[in-house]
Amino acid sequence: MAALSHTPGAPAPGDTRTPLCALDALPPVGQARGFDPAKSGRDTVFALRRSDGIRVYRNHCPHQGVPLEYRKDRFLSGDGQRILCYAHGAHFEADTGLCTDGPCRGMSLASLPLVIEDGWLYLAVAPDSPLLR
Amino acid sequence: MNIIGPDALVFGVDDVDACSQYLTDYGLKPAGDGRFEALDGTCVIIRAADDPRLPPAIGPAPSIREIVYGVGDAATLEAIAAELSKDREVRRGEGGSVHADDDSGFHLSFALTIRRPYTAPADLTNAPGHPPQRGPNLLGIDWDMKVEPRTLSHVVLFVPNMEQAQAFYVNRLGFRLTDKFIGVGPFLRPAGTEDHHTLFLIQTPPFMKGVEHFTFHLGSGTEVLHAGTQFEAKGYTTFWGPGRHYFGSNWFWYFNSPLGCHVEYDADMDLHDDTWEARHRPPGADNSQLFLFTAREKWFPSGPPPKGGAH
Repeated sequence: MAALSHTPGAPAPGDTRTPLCALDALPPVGQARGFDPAKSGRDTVFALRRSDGIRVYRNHCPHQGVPLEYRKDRFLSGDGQRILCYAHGAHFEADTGLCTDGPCRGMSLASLPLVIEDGWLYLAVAPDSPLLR
Repeated sequence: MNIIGPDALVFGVDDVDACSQYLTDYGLKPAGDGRFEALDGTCVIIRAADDPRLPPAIGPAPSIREIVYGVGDAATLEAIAAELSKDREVRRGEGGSVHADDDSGFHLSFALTIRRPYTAPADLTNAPGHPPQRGPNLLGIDWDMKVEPRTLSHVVLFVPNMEQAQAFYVNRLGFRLTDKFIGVGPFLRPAGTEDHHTLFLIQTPPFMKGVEHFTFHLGSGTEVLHAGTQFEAKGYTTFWGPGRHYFGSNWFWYFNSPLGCHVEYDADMDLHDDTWEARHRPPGADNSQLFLFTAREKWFPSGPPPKGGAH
């Protein structure tokens, strides 16, 4: 019973990883979901499924460091195939986070390492990491 | 030239449904065929990016496709056509409308204004030392108070050459410079309005060319705070605000949008005439706003008394 030091969803001090959600709570390919794992009052990371796996990025545009979405969970283009920053219209590849058009062209969203275990999606990042604020 | 200001902004987008929902939630009235109107009929028009009615795009969708300026008389249309024909292609359309590109490559059209007369209440203030504007038993606010965008105020463009872009609007179309952020951009007012600006230009690298934001005037600062609070409660993302700008004195609250630019709530802008002398200030946080706040959820000072028995 040593596999998990805590119940998913209830991070404890000293944790080196941060639970996001049960895998089946992640929307299908073409949609994204925002999370506020540090309880900062807004979604600071977002996750999306791709054909070859899951990606989690910081919700922090490399252009001005602002949130990308225009509304809760709306991070993607109309066809669900690209990430858009709805602040100044930067386009990002969904698979890599690379900005292909817009003010931060050539820069990338910060991709966060993740772990999948027992049907849960975790970030391999401590809950108190500045990456989650 | 009696140019009044932008009457319509036409966008080509990749998610028509999301944009329609957004503009409706913002408070504009759907009028059919992708048109979302304020009280005076000024509007935003949403079309699928591949709609053949749209002029060519200057960037990936979603993006601005046409800025429609309302003018006060037919003589102005003829004057614009004559002036712009000197050095660029000008197309004439229905009702004498004039179509041409500005010096940055934005597609403009000019037509007799669609603005219709309307009346809407002012936010009356009781200020000690000044006769009251709201007499006994008249309430300042109401749970049901309705906030409606009244008129399209201004559009802000990212341009690769701000001086050249300013010269086009000033020298060719008779706009006046009201104020300027040194090295960044001018606030411009056409001859047919006293509003501080209907156009603001921002110097950026060429690949950023596009709309930075647009806004409709609401009735007051209270209306900006109330409308923005309701918009946030629907899940929309604040970009900047609420606050009050220095140049123009207007209240502001900017949101991200699926149109590919910010959308603002604005109110209570200064008016100017030709006797005004433009202020030139360096850009930055201090010069761009008198104050700035972050909205928070409604809260009430209740619960157990504080430790130590204060109160």
